[in-house]
Amino acid sequence: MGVLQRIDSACGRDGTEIAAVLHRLEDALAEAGCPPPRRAAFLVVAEEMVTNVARHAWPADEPAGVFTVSAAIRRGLAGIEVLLAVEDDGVPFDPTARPVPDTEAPIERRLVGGLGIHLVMQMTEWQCYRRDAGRNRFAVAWRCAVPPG
Amino acid sequence: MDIFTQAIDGVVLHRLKGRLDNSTTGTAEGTILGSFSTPASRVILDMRDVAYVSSAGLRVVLMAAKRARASDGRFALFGLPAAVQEVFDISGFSKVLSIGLGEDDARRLVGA
Repeated sequence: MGVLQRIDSACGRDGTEIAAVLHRLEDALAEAGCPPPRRAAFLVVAEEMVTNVARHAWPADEPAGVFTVSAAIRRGLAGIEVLLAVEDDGVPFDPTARPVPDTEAPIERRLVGGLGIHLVMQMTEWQCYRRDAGRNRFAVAWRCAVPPG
Repeated sequence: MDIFTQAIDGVVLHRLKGRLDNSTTGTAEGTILGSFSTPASRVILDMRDVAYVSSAGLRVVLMAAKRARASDGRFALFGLPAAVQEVFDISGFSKVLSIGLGEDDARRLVGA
């Protein structure tokens, strides 16, 4: 399974920069032949990962430091696989160690927020967090079963 | 995100079109939550043309459900596309919210 496309983007904290990176990822998936409903599912994952860093990695009034989004898109017999990673030099944060929200709780007791990371963990095949040389690196593998084209 | 709002027979129906994501929820939040400004409001979201919902969108939906509960109102959604249904299922929303297949279903769910 060869790499069809590789994307490496510097990202910032504001909505325009985030939207531009997500747009690039979406275009690349479309080019790889991923159907629109599955692209939508991937975008949920990508948006959660990118906005989480943008919002929380650095103090609210500071600009982003190192913030990159990278994706390797492969297409093989089983479908399309994307290895998506975000890297930042903000405060240490391990998304894989977050408590799982109580998705069985009634509306009155449900907390507003906290679902983004849960969606990423549930919608991806594999997740890996590493803190190395003052940087967070959070990577996930996402798959989409489509017939080979 | 475009929102077309109709008020018919005491029910406020918001037809949403586009993405309910981090960059668009501001407008949606104001419009949808504003529907509960009077007690016992009945509010429906038409989700048929919503391409995707991220956690920012889920937050607005949950806040709407909480508002309805707190103000003796009713709140229902209908027409969730597969990608949206997946997100609702993972977050447990499918089990606690009133979700109809079609508009008639949703109207019954809000007691219209």
